[in-house]
Amino acid sequence: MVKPYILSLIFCVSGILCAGAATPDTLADLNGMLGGIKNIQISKEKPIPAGFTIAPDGWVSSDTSLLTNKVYVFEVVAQTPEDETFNVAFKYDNRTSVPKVTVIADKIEMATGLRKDGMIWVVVTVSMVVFAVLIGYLVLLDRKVRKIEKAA
Amino acid sequence: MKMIIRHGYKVLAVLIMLYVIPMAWTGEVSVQVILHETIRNLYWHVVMWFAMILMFGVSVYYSVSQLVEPSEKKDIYALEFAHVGMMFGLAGIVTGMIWAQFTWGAPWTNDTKLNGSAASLLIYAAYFILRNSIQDKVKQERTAAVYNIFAFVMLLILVGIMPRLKETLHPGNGGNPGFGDYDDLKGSMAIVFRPAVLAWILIGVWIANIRIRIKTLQLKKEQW
Repeated sequence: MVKPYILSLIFCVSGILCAGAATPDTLADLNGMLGGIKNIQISKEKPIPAGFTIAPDGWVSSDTSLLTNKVYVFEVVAQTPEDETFNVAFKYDNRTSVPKVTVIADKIEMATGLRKDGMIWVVVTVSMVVFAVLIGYLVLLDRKVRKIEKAA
Repeated sequence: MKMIIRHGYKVLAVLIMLYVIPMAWTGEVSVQVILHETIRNLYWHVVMWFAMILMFGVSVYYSVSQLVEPSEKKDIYALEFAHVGMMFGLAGIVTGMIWAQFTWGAPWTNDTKLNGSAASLLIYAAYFILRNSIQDKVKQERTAAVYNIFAFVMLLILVGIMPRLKETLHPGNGGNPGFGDYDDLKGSMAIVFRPAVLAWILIGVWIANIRIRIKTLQLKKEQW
C-alpha cells in the first residue's frame, strides 16, 4: 500500500498556507507530514534563524514577535522510523499581511533496499574480479621483467 | 628479509584493497542531498588525486636530488613516477567527469579546481614532450629535472591553492564544507577512505617499480 505521505512528498511540494492566522505560532507538523520522525538534524549551511524552534517530535513553531518583515529560509534533515531520509526546506515569508509558509520535503534516495536484497554482493564480486585481473597482470609483468633482469 | 621488502608492500596493497572494495560498496555512508549513493565515489575518485600528488611528489624529490647530485638512476625514477602520477591524474579527471555529470549536471563546469587540474596535467604532458625533444643526455636530464620542479609547484598552486581562494563546487575549498564534515557517522567513511589512499599509493609504487626496471633494461641494451 502506498503511504499517503509518500504520495504527497516524493519530489513534490506540499505547501501549507496558514491562511487567516495573522500571527501563527505553529507553522508545520513534520511528524504528520512524514509519517513519524525518529531524528531531526539541522543543516549547517542553512541553520534555523532566531525566532524559530523545532521540537524533536517535528513541530515547527515561531515567535512572531521576533520576526521582521522579510523572508526566512532554513533546512533540516529528518529521518523517519523506516530509516527514510528527507531534506525538508522551510520558507517563511513575512512580507505580506498574512505570513506565508512553504514546506518542501525531498526524499533522499539511498540504496538501502538494494543492500537488503543482498544483490550488491554481485557488484562487490565483479569489482573484486576486475581488481584481481589487474593485480594478476601486474604480477605477470613483474615476473617477466625479473626474468629479463636475470638474463641480462 | 629481502623477499619481504621486495614483495611486502605489494601484498599489503592487495590485502588492503580486499578490505576496501566490499566496504566501499556496502559500508555505512552519510546520507546527503544531491550526492545520494554517489558519495561512495569518495573511495575511488578522491583517492586517485591523493595517489597522483604522492607520485608527483616522489618524482620531484628525485628531480631535486638529480640536480644536487646527477645520476642516471634518479632521472629514471623521476620520469617513471611522473608517468604513474599522470595515469592517476587522468583516472581522476575521467571519474570526476562521470561524477559531475550526475551531481552537478554537466561533466565539465567552469570550476577553478577542474580547470586547474586539467592545466596541471597539461603542464606534466609538456614535461614528457620536453624530455624527448632534447637529444643530449646530460642536458635532457638537467632540463627535465628543472622543469619537473616547476610543474610540481604549478600543480600545488593550481589544484591546492587556487580553488581555496576562488569559488568552486568542490568540498573543502572556497568555503565549502570538506568531506570530513559529511562523515557524520563518526569516521565510518574515514576507515575506508584512508586505507584506500594507502593501497592505491602502494599500487602506484608497484607500477612505477616495474616501469623503472623496464626503462633500466632498455638503457642497458642501448649502451651495449
